[in-house]
Amino acid sequence: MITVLVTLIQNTALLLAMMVVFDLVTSRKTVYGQWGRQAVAGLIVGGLCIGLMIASFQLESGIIFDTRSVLLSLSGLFLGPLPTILAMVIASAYRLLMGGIAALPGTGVILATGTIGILWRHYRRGRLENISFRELYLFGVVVHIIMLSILMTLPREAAQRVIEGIGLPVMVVYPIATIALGWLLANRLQRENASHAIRESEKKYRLLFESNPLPMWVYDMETLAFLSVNDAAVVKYGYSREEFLRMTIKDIRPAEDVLKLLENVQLSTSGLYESGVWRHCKKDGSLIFVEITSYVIGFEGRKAELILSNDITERIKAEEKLRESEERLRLATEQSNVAVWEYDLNTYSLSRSPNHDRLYGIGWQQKWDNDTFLNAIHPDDREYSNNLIRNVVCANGPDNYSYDFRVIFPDHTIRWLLVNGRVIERNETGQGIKVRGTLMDITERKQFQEKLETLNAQLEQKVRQRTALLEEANKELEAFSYSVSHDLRAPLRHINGYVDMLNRKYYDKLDEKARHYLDTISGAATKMGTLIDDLLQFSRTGRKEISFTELDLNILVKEVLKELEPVINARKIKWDIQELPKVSGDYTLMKLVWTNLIDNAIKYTRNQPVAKISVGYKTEMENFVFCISDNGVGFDMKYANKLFGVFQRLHSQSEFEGTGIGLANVQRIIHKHSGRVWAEAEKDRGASFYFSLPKIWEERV
Amino acid sequence: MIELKTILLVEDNPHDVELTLEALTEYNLANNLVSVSNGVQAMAYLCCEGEFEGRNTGNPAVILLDIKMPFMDGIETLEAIRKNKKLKHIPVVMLTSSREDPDLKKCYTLGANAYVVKPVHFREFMEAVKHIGIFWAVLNEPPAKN
Repeated sequence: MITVLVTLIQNTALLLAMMVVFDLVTSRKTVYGQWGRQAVAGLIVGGLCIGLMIASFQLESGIIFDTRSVLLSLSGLFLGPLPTILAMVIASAYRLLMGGIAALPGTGVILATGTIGILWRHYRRGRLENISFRELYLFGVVVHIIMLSILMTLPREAAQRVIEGIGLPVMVVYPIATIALGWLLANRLQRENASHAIRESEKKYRLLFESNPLPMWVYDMETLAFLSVNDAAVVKYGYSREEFLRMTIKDIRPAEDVLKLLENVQLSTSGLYESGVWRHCKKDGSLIFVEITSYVIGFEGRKAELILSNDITERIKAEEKLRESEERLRLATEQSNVAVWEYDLNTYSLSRSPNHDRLYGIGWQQKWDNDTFLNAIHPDDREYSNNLIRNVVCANGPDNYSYDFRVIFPDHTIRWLLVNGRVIERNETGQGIKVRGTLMDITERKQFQEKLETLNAQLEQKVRQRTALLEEANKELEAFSYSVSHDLRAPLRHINGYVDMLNRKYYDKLDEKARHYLDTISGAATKMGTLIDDLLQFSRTGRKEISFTELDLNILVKEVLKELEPVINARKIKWDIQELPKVSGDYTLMKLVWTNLIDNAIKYTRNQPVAKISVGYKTEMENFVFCISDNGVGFDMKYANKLFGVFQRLHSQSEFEGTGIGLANVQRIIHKHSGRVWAEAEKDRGASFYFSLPKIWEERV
Repeated sequence: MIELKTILLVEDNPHDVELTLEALTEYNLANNLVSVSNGVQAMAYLCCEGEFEGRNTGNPAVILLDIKMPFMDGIETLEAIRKNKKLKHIPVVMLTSSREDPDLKKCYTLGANAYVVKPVHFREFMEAVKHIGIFWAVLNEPPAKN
């Protein structure tokens, strides 16, 4: 009995010893991967089983006892199915090879204990590395009760001998062996897990450094050499990792900054530093502005500093730009008449350009509240300004506003200021809380405007006076015309009347000469009557208001020809009258034009056996140009400038009668219609009279 | 026998009066002509006042009224005639020197029956006056008195 116990303990000790060796061997770094490692473990466990079976205790021939049940069950529990099954196959093969009466039950024990381990592993709860001794003991008891039960399949006597022989020692030693081996394995598991966690964590922190989007490096605080740099640093600075590691941190600074850098390094003793903005050189020579954060660390046994560099070049440039633009604005506003300002109604604070207060004619004010504002304004404009501002900042007031007001300068001069403002922020009730705008001195503009208004008023006054004078003159002219028409004609009528009476009553008593005298008197009086009539008409066309209507010139010309019918019928005239357009004009006046021109054409062709008169027009730019041509006596072009003058005649009265008013009238009327009139002629070769009229008659009608 | 009624000529120019008379003489109408030289006299005649007080020749058959006269011109006279109940039915012919006289329109508005432009040619004038004289003094029946 004691022998059995001792042998079993020996076998157990062997198991434990082999397990320690196993542990040492497998804890080395393996590169096989998941499946490979499991297969190796299975092979080793199988091998161990064979070893245990070789050193087994032989109860009798064919019946051996060893601790393979402990090994396999714990293999199932700690290593899992794959290595255990592999080990079970190897162990079973070897056991069957050994043969003997207990070959089959022995193999059964191998399969059962391994399977129990696998099942236990599968169904238990909690972390395996924290398994308790109690559970291990229970596990050992269960495994070995089952092992002994399997041995009951031996022939009755053999079974009895086995139970009697080793039942007790097995139930005493094996569960304890299970505890011992299980503790060893649990420990091993604990170690494995712990080292795995450390590896993961290291990997994570390495990633934080290597893959950090911001450039980072570690440098030796004594030699200033780079010890490690991350990818972002390589990308940002343009140096390769190898180049970096050959450089010191002085090499990425402009020469003039190195001294400051060395001082700064001296200051860092431990912990976190924010050492502000520095200039760094990239490999391509360009300078960048970076914000440096550092942490003093120990690195591979050296005192080192971990640096994080944040490129803020864009921000610095933007700030610079802003400063420049502010400076420009300051310069621009300082001496000018335009100030800029922003008022915060919550804090009653006014930020403004330096010239702002000066425009009000006051010194620089420490604070600007409503009173400051109102006091600075001309008393007469205060209420108006105040109301206007109130209206702007009240809920739903207009956002933009503009108004001018007066201020009184210390020398009592009054100046005009113009405010253009905009509400840039309103609170939830819609009341303005921030207003921004400009302030401009517009005194000169105002003065100019006033001057302009005065001048305008004076001009209007003058126009009124002139108009009055003109109206008076017109009235006088009308009275004159009236007087002429009535009073000048009366004597003529009387001359004619008395000459006629003389002729009728005393005809027989008059000799030839006296009769001739009377005829002359009568002719002269008639002539003078005509002159007076023409003159009156000329004066009327000058004064007449034109009433524009649409005129069909075809109809108008027909009317004119109808009126001239008595003269035309007495003559032989070949007419060539083109189709004419419609124009805009005064009916009476336009008819006078056509009558005059056609009458002239008839008159001055009367020496021709067959007169040829043509009427036509052509289109020229915005005008119609009309033409009345004849084959009459014409005139010498050197007198053409006299043609349209009043009382100017190019033919003698005896040759062609006329008053010299007709063409003057024509010119006056055409001018009134925004047209031109001219003539082309040659002596004895006929004449052509042209006049133009604007095409667009619609607008005037 | 045709009853010849009076023709009242209101005309300030003595030459025109003479010529008018001359024209009417041809048709023996001259004796019926009464001439006064302005509107004031005309109204006195028509209303039988002043120097015409006690006149009993009744209303004239026609009044020939010159527009341009001193003291009271033709337009004013016409207005006065048309306002007067007893006189307003008397035909009035306006005499003017110009066809274009702006006063002509006013004459029609005020109720003138016709106008005659005094032509420069005496013959035409005579014809015109004759026609008027015959038309109103001889042919035209005055409106029935109410």
